[in-house]
Amino acid sequence: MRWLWIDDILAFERGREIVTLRGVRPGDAPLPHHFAATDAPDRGAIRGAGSACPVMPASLIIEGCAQSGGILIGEMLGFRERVILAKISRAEFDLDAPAPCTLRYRTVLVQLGETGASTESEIARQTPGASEWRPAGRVSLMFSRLDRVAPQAAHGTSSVVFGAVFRELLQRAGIDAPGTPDHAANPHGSARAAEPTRKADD
Amino acid sequence: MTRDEIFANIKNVLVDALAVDEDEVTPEATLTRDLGAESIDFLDIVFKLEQAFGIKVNKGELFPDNVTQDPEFVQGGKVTAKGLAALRQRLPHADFASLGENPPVNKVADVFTVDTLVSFVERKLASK
Repeated sequence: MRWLWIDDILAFERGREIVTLRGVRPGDAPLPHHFAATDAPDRGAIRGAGSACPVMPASLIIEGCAQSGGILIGEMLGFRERVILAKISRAEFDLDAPAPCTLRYRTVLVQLGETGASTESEIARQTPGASEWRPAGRVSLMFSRLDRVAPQAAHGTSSVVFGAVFRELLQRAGIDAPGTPDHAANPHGSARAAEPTRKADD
Repeated sequence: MTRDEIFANIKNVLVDALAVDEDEVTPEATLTRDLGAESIDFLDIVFKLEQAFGIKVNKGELFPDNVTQDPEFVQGGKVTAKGLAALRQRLPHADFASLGENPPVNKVADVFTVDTLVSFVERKLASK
């Protein structure tokens, strides 16, 4: 099982927006065990495959949006606080995500407060051979700044997300992560991401 | 903005934040017991109130913060006289009179009704 549910950061604008990508591949761990609830054509099922075609679970798409939002919020806080997903305010899906396809999460920071934050993500899906991105869903999330709301719970806990792979993902996008656990040991790629790093293609 | 208009906007906020039906949102409805709000929902409500009314709500300004956890304010699972005084002083929009003396700490949440939110927003808008 993989814990990181985004593959690349396509664009990043500090405090405003992050655009991330997730490739959905036939061999991904959860896919062989998760199937669409319906093979209705308007859900984007692969023609002829019907409900026998495994799809990316919606819960992991939400997790991808949460990780994207976590980067957006965490960067604003210098990655020094534990920011956790606290509430799924809304999750609507128009299309399934059968392998192979690519998902794009465009996530904006709606609010950042003393104890929490909220984000909204628009999900789009691109299938092989198609140049267009089709709207696939919307997710609204709330995050809790654990160190502020429950310092006792946060004390002594380590970050599951901020492993080497996650740090490398940030570095590739030029996002500095001074508060992540291994930054002092490996402070490469420390360009400050105050401006958009790359523009997402529409 | 009239009190009725504030109530109408708060109803929209609560329907969105708590996924409740409009007719459940009455002035007397308590946020936790009647509308099912949990701890994270209070932050959601604060965010949505800020957006709906263009106000800034500071930590601990609308709902209690670090009062019910303070051993000086809560002893043996009950709110002390000093604790009640602190709640009244910090949260003047809420009516703590119904709690009586030395109420169980888990009853404090019952004070927060839809009408409490209306009173809070009314005060905030008046002070802008």
